[in-house]
Amino acid sequence: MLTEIPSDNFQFTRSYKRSDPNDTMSKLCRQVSIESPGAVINNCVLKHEVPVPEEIPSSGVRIRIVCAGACYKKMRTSHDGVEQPNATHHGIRDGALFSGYEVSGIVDELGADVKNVFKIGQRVVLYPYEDFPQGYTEYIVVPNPENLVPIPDNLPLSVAAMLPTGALLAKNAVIAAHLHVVDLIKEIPHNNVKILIVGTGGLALWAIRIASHHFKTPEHENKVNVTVATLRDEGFKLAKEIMNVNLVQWNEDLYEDQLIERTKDACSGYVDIVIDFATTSRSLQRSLQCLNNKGVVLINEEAAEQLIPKFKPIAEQKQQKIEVVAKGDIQQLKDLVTYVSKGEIIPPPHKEFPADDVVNVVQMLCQSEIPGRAILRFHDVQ
Amino acid sequence: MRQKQEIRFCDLQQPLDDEYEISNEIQDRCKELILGDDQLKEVMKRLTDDINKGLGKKTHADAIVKCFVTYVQDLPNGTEKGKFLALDLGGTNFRVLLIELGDNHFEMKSKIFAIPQHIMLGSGEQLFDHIADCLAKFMKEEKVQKEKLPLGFTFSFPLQQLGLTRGMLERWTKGFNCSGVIGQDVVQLLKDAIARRGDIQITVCAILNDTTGTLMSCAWKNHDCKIGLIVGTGTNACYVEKQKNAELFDGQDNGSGKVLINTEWGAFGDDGQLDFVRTEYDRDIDEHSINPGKQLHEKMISGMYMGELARLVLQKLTKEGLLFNGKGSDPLFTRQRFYTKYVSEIENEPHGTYNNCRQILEELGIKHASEQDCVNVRYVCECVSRRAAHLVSAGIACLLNKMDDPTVTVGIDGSVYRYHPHFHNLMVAKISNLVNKHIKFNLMLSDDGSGRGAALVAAVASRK
Repeated sequence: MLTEIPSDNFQFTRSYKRSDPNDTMSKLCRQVSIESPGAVINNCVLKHEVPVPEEIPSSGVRIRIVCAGACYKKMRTSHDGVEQPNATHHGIRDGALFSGYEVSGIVDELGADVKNVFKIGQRVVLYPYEDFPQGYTEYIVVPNPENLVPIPDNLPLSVAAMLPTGALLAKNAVIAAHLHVVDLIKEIPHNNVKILIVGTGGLALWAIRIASHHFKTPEHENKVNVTVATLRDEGFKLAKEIMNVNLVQWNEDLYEDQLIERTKDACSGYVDIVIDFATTSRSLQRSLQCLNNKGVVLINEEAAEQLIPKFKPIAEQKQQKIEVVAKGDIQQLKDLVTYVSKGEIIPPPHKEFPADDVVNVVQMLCQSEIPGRAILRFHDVQ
Repeated sequence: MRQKQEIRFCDLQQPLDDEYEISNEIQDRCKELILGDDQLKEVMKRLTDDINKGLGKKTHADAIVKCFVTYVQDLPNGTEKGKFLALDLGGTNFRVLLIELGDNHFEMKSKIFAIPQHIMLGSGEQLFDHIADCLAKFMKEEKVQKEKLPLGFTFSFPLQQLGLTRGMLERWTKGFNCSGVIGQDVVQLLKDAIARRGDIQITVCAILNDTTGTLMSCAWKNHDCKIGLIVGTGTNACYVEKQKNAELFDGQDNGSGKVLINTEWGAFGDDGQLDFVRTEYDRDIDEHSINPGKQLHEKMISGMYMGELARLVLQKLTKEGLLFNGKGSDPLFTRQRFYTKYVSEIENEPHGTYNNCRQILEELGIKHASEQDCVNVRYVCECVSRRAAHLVSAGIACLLNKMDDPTVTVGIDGSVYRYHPHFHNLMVAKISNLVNKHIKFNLMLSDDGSGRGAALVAAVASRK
């Protein structure tokens, strides 16, 4: 049974002992849920105490969450159908706050059949499988251990927590862009391919880094120009930390025509590919206006259902495409673990917060006030 | 002149051909935003007095509308030749331009650079180093880094100009607030920054503001152009005055007997002359601005403030229960969150269509707006933008009447004039009402803005 308790009376179970066969009471642990922010931010964060899950299937693994990337749950379906992602909050438009599920932790208990596969205390990151838990619960049972990815000792749990949605989605976007880059290099062998990445929140920062890594190979080197549209001044600093990234500033208070002129000036003309993770009507419209004939905009699954019917007729007039970036698969997550732990891809900056502080964290994320990613820390375990 | 599409606009006294009508309560609340011709003529009278005070040697020191002498005496005549650089600082973008002129030949290359907030609010040295850095990058890209080229510097802030190449910053406007610049010669600050680099050389031939640049740019095409007007992030105007009337002009007459006057009319009303038409919303905007008590005329007109003005009205109407069933949203109640472009977008659809309005309200977290709400939101936007257009029109009519030239073209730039769908027609109609009958006028959109004008000022200065 879930119990909601006012914050100032919140009591946490500070430690958990292994099951005592004689103990008839369930131990309690924390659960933090971030729902999609509505018009009033404070309403979207819920804190509960819930029982520690006791029953572990024979092939299951119980893990103790140490770090969680601050993401919100997917949009609930309203009676009218799926709602458009809320364009109100700057942090959502910037890709600082997005829907997803990101946890890293340690193995706490093993089902009978997997005692030889994992070890208690092993450090893992969870691939967000179908029907993954809603909300970040301190202890969760993973029914299928194939969704757990062990991480090397030199990869901090806080960095690992950023991988399962942010980095994975960004990687999948870069892979989708790659397919178009290959085609374009054949079509226009003497011109560079131009990619515009929108925003400097966590998703875009991952995309910038993954794109830089991905397009470093000999066949792509000096063939791909990446421009980042920063929505806030702080984005300059974050994006400029990466060499060879062009910048254009998308101040929301400017007229659309001014932003498009500015973008074309910065990119030396129209771009071929746009990656826009936090797609809203406005940003998609702007992206299409910066895009070449036959260009492609890559957008989030979450926004696509609402926006594609509206914009597809406009895009088709110029043979432009709007494509949905699916979430990546577990092999891609494993690849990311490897690249990041080897230092081939440097993660975006992140800042850790106590999990109890989640309300303030979400407030700051909605205003894009946290450079890079926000990580909720449940336990002081490295 | 670029052809402006003729767009019907509504006389506010006539009912709209909507299924819904503007609520009576909304009309009542917005009444104070509507200026009648009597009020506008009073504005003109007061502005004329202030302009004359600004021009007078004895009255200049106390004048609110400073009417700075620009030291620009000559307009382009088509004989200018060569390569010229221009810098354009103070509007929405910072731009560097390279212009090559020949006999009726014009070629331009330019690049837009952003000025981050921390530089807008940092030290003057940081600002001018940033400008010099952008200039150096551009000159290298255009392969003119080894040439010593004449440069015109459009600096769109109130300057006390002491010569064609000397300008002391009087105050910052438009969101800038760099330390160590007020009271300094900004040309010298620029030269110092360039000298600190040591890798490029320029000759500063002129410093001017965006109104002068706009006038020069349009005058190159249309020799009747004698007024330059900006309605953008800020608002200001310049015009051709007789040297004998510009009592502070201490330069030598180059032959025209004329000199351009930078009115700095954004400050009109700072001494209370506009209190008879200012509203609670104007006072609120001023109190929360970066420069309270200053630029009061500008704060009723320009793009920096127009969106916020509309938001304040919408906020009040919502809290009174007259909009959105009294239920707003955090963004609607957040300062600076209703952008000026929203005003243009809402007014840029046929009456009875509210797609833009609905999208904007959704961006503000309001998904529960009714059709009647959309009608009312549009009306609020119309009241705010019309008042701005009418105040600017009064100012232009004031200058036209003062100059008393039978035929004058007004060169105009700025985002509000350029992007608001009805601003041009609103101005034509209102100036026609207010100007003396024998004067013919034309409003000309400046194709290039103030960048080209700066190069033209340098070109004209090099013509000697």
